[in-house]
Amino acid sequence: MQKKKLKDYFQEYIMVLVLILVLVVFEILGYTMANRNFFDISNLTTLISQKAYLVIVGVGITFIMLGGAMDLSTGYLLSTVGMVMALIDGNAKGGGTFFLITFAAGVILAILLSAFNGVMYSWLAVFPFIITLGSQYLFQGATYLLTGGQSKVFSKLDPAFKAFGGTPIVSSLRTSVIVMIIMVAIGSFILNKTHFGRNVYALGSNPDAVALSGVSVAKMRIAVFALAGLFFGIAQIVNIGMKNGSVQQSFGVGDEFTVMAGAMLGGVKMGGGGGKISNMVVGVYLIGVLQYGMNYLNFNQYWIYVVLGIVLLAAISLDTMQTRAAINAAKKVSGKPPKEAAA
Amino acid sequence: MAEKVPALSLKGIRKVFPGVVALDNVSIDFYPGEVHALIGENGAGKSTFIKTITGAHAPDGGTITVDGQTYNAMTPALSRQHGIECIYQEFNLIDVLSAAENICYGEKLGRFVNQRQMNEIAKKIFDDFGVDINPSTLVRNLTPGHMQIVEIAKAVSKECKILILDEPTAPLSIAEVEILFKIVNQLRDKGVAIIFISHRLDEVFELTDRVSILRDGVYITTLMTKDTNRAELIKYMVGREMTQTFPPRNAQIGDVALELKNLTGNKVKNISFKAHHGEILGVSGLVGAGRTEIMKVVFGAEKKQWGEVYVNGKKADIKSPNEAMHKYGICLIPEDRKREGCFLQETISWNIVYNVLGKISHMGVIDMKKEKEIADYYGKAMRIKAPNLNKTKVMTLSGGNQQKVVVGKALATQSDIIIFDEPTRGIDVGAKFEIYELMNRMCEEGKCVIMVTSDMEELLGMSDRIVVFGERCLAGELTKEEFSQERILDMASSGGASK
Repeated sequence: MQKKKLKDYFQEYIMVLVLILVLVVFEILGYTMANRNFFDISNLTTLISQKAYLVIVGVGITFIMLGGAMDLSTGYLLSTVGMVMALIDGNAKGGGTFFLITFAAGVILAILLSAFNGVMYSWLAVFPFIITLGSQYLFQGATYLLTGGQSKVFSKLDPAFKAFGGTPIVSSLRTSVIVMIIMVAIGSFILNKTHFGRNVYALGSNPDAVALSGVSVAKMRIAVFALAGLFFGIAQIVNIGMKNGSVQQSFGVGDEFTVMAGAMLGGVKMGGGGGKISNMVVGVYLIGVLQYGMNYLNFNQYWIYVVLGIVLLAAISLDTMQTRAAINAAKKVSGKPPKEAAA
Repeated sequence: MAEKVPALSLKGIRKVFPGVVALDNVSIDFYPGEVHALIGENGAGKSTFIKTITGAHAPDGGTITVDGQTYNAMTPALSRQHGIECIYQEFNLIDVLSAAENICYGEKLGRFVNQRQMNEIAKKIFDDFGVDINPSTLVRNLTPGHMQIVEIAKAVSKECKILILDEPTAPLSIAEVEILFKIVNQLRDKGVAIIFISHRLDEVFELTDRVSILRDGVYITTLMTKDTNRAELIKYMVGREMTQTFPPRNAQIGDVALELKNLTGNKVKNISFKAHHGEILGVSGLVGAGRTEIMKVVFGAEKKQWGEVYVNGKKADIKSPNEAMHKYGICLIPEDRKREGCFLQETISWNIVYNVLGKISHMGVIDMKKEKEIADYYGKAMRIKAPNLNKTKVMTLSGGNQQKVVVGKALATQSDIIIFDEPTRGIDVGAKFEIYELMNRMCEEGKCVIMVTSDMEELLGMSDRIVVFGERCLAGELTKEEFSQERILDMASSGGASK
């Protein structure tokens, strides 16, 4: 009984298998369609480095999802943070603020903005969908006001950005991957080994029981969003680094959906109650590979959206069917019907 | 009167749930133009009985005759077709629609929604009732009393012939009860058969013509209300056989552990009692009497309005469950274990250590070794039957084992005062006995156990002393020598008039 059944392993690692399968499919398609090797080292390392930023955002999103909430505003939050860092930085104009001050300002701003979501959520106690829909517009407007509107591009920011995210280490593997590994490790440590992490799971699993255990549900919610903000801030630094120290308003916008979709795909439950950081990493990379691979093979961009949509719906259907099967199995009583039927 | 044809006639109704016979051979006739009271203790089978009439449950035996047609089981559609309407304690209204829209809901008044016509229909019914409700008011802006009238109006508009009222007076003020009774009398005069369920015996005498008594799912008798009296009804309602055995206990009753003085809050008023070390204090009362509510105030989960709590003789100002558990050593095992007691999606160990994580963490990092020790210790002490404490999720356990997890989680806080709210609800006999043994062990260790329960056998079998709640206030206290089912029920059903 103690041993895990093969089926359990299959369920746990199904997404890893899918990821490998997709890679193999791209390798085959690469040869047959374009006579190119998808498994080329520089190709794979580029892929890993490019998507590292999304995984760091994903660490924050995973905390929010495990805590039973969601966040639609992440994209514009990232955009705001990026623009504010660009304004503080001033290297392009020859001013040049010390990079640590810029970084700290960005991260603190991200924490504050995300915590703001948490405060509103705790205070109003309505579904976070509505709260973050509101703050999404708020952040968007604030960014435009700050930069005077339109698609302003800031380039040649402090080289520290590039050092932090965009410097090659081996082949096309960049520093963004190192930051990602550290952030994933920190996130996993907090979730698995700390009292706070337990409370994040508890919050998503049963907030009523959390309240009866003497933990303030409101404070926990604010803390979860604030912590997510920390990861968002760091993610945007890496993102700017990956883009060679340039930033514009669109940086980050829309990424919240890619990341949320990836997390769900990997097995993090929407509305809390289960999932790990590692699930999110696999899910985000699965989407990343699909996007990257289809670009690589020169698929029409519109088809990429269609495929991503189908993959996401399929993953959700699979998850729902599993949950239903578990519920139905739990309803069943063991034994056989009695021989005498009641009159 | 005996020649009248019953509007609804149930014969030999039997309903079995896994492990429990909820109704056994229940036969009752309901006549048009009569108010028929249905009474019985908590768990006597009243709700199940009603659900067989409305078609929510299919009985395992017996027949239901209505309008001269006999069925083995009703369905919700069928019961509605025969003009059976039930008004439950929880209203079944759409609160963003107006009173009139609710009344006419589901009725075909033409192709388009016609506000004026609906308002006229509603207005006419309200006028007949002699109540002043604006038909276009949204239901969510109405008082509970008015909501209930809208429910009744909805039933009347569907030309109901049999109206079931399940504890209709519980949410109402005294003035609203009068209006309700007036309407019920009106409907009786129009020939509607009314089934009236109430815990309040005074109301039974005031309103009803006939009264039927259920006990433990068994039909006892039907009496003409005018020919009986309170004492007789109570005698019929109790008379329960004590079949269950309880494990013996060898505990010394010590000093006062917990004392409440006029504690008020969460809608419950002026509760005073003492509970001692080494003692099981039974807390009785009908469902909704405020037992759970006041325990939540003691536990700091709900705000106190006035009054004091003393723990071991010292005044305790308990502001949160955290303080209750870790500062004053009080733990609460909640009534609804799935909703408030545990984290179903997590493992057994995870649940057991949850409350004490603060104590076994250094700088917020959990000491995994200590965690395992605590989980193993309480997992074993509770005798939780599961393949693996660290891997088995609570949702896959049986009710009894889930309850043991919740108890283990509470005990891990090493509290001295343990409040059990419905400790054995929904768990099988074997697991019940284990919980009783566990309670005994706690007493023998000098802990103070407070047991809120609706199970009469458990109450009498396990308690050293019993306090009885009336309606949101204390109705009385009984020492072991004074224990009797009659006295408890008499106190509990004495209505909201006391104090």
